Amino acid sequence: MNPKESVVFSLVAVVVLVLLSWVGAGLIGMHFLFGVLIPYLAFAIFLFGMVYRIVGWARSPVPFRIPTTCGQQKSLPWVKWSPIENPVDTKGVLKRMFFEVFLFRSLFRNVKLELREGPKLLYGSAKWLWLGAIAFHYAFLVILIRHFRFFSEPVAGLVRGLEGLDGFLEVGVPRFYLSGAVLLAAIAYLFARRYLVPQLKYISLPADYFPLVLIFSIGLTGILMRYFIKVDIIGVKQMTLGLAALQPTVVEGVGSIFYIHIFLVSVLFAYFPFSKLVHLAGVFLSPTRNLANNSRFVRHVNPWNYPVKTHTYDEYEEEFREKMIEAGLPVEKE
Amino acid sequence: MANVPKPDQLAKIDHRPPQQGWMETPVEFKPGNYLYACKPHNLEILGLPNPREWRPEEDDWKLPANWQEILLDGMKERLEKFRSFKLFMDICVRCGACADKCHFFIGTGDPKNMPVLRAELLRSVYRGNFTTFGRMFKKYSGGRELTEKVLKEWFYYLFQCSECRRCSVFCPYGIDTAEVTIIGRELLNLIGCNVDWVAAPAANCFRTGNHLGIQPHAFKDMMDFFVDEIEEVTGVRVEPSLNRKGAEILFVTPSGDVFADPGTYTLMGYLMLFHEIGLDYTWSTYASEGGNFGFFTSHETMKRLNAKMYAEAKRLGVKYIIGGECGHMWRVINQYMETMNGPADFLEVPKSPITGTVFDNASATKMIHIVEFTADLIKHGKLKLDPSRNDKLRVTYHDSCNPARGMGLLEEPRYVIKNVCNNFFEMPENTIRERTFCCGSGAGLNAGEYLEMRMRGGLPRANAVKHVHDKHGVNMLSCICAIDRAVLPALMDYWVPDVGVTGVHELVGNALVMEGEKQRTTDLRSEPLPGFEEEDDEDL
Amino acid sequence: MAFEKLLAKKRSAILTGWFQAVIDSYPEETAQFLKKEQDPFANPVGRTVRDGLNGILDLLLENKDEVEATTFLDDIIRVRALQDFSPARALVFIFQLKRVLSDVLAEDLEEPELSRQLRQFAPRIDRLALLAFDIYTNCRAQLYSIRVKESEQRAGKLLERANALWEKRAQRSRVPES
Repeated sequence: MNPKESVVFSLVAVVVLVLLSWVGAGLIGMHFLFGVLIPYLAFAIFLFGMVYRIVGWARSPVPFRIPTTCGQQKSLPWVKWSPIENPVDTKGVLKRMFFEVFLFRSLFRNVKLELREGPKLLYGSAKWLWLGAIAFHYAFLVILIRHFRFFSEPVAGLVRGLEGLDGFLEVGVPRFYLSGAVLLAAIAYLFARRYLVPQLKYISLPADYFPLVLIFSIGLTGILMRYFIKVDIIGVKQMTLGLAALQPTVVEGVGSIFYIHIFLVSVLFAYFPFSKLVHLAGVFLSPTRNLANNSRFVRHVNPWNYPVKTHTYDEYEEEFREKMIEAGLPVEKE
Repeated sequence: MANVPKPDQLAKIDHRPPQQGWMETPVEFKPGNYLYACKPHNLEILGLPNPREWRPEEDDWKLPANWQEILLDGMKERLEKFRSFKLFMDICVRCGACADKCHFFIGTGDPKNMPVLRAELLRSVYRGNFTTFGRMFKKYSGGRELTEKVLKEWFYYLFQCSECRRCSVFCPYGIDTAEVTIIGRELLNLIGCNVDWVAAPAANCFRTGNHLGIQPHAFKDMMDFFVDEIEEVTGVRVEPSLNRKGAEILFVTPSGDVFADPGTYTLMGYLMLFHEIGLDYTWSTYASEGGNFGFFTSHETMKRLNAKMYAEAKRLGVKYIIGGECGHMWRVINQYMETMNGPADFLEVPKSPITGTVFDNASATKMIHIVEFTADLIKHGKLKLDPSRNDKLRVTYHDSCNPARGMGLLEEPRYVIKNVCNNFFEMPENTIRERTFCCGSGAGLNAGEYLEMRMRGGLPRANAVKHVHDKHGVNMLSCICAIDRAVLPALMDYWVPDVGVTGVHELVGNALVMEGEKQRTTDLRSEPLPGFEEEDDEDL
Repeated sequence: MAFEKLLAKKRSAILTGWFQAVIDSYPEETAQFLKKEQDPFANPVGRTVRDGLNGILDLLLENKDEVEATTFLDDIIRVRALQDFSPARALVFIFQLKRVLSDVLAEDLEEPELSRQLRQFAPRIDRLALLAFDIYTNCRAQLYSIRVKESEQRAGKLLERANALWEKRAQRSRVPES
């Protein structure tokens, strides 16, 4: 598929999903299906799917210790060693993984050097991808945590605190949350980058555009619901609390936009484990990052190690004995 | 004459890909852009499947009838055996961080050389055959069938990857294209699609103990030759032993250095160093190869070749092993050897007999790197060195990929070089250490027929050398890898003609002041030493 | 001369157009990278081409002898001679300067005097092209000689040493006899 087809396919797919929920819940009124059954089903698929994927990976062993070393090894005591970029124990690995998972260390590595006028070397940086990725992921996380307000009563302190931070601009009624805007902006950047940079365009699949469009639509419906197309917020919370308490109820008249939003979220949840989005879990298991570079001093066992046919010294000597004797090389059997 | 294209047409002909996705663009085999196919007898020696005469540019690759089944079964087996492979097939988000990090992409301009795409070649087949979504939605989820066209694409691009791991440094999930290439090549070997430049050395190594197929008596001859050469330069006669039982240490180094310049000078450096410190060590003709072209074939072949080191150490009854300057050899030793062929409980934790330093960092493998060993000697002041003998050299250092990214041996070689040379200059930061650029010929690509591709792949490295050459007058590129020593001279000849190539221990050999040596008038290459020229007049 | 002044004025547009013409010979995905990436070590090809064209333009504008362009041409052609281009495609970029000039200067060329001067200027580009042929051939020849040298190094050395050894051995065995 060429890039244009991929993008069209993703857009059409999301439009179909929106229409499906709008018609289903809004026009025909299948509130129980869209408000209860599908969310439950999606959540079940998500849980089951994630466990299935993680167990699937975990069942494949790690036969060899293959970290990518990005710094000096631990060797002689007087040689300065990089304990994080080249860890030798669990502590080091945890630090390395922390930088990797929370700060996207490897993406940040994109330092580049520019040779502008004259012989002076200037270190610039190519951190746009890193910035876009960080913005997107943290905005998503904040929004996710904020949404816990809909699933618990009373609302946890952490959630309230985060809401306060997120809305620190203190503008608008209801208060404007920064995270929503950041999320949409970051997705727009990631999408544009993918479609406009020819290298990326070349490697992108429908599976790369679709999640971006889907998450963008989720953000957009959320924002619409909060600021523009008002829904019955009390009703919504009743419904979401009911879902969380496993006592689902349907409140009539909360507005179709709510059903569209929750349906898109359901699709995202169900799609998550079976798409590239599983990198959320996969990053923790990556053998080039989560292993210590210590196989020279700690034995690493390969569970499926099996004996192989080698060419033994005896076979070797058998073939070359005469020549070896003539050359004055010691042999086992004269 | 009517067919002569106009300039603008000419510039555009065929070179831009048509507006279709990469999956629809097939590969074209042309002389110079592929490696020769493996010869049947080499596969037979190793007992590998489907030995036959075949040529990549011919349509018929003489594959077994059920080749697809073999590959897909092989893929399934490896998905279950390697978490790395399974994970790397699943979690790539195609963010493009790796795209422009590959020296082959930079040098060839071929977009399929972006690491992400190299991996997608396998990933697309994985999705099409092993994932629910892929089977359901085929091309919409980026999956595809395993056709002969796809197979040829695998062959073409998996042998355009030097397994250098540079992309892995920049990947947010640590996805390592080398790992994908390693397993991809392993799959190709299931149906006999290897290249001869990998299969022949592996077969040689299996039978004669080294890649070049040097038989024991010839190996001995070569040693004698070096002994004479060293005597000529230094007046000291070194006495290396071969296959000697009861020596304290076994020394193993890549066989490339035994006969190809400039590696030979590095080898002479080892001989001189060991002689000077009076090391009780031996060479082996049976384990006369440090490198491991089995690593470029399959995990199993790697293990079969590597097994000789421990087997020979055991037979000779040595205490531990020292390994010479070699790239992928050290990735194998650091990350695979002990797991595959250990435990080496018949050996002792390496302890330098000269300084008493115990190498705890090698307490399981019982094998240390010569550069670690030498750095320790220098640190303890056990060597008499005259760095001014290297004064005609202005040296820079190329981090070989595997010791850099598969081990982290970064400072030790620099320490040694700075102690044996007075003029040392680093290349730009993003081309050294963990971000070093490959020589373009690693992982079995250093064949003659592949010269142009290698020159393209080596361009980013050469470009950085050119920079320090222009800026600091650098005229010597040092490295700790035998493949580097074999291929960098050609790369330099084309891109930066005034720069030579040397191993670190050649520099050591030149600077080493040996007991009882005569006044040296030449370096190990028999080139005059400035300031120490022979004074013919006095002789008269 | 009015024409040279005009060139100097439009220099940056000419350079941009010419550079674009060169990188258009690469796949689109690559072209963008060659153009955008400023780091000379991450993007040696793009950088070499840009610097080379820049240098050549300088020489043309300063009315210097084309022969002085040799190093710049060599830098660019050394890369293109190696990449997957036919000789014609590797060198077409020189002729493309003509089109770039007539595109960039289109409006000004309506003036007959300038148009005449452009025609006078054109042979200089042809001379560059002739130089380029030599350089290209040189690069290819160099590749062949490197290939020969490499194979000699691989097999030849072995032979040389083997012969040396046999000679020495022969000498040694002769000594006790005599």
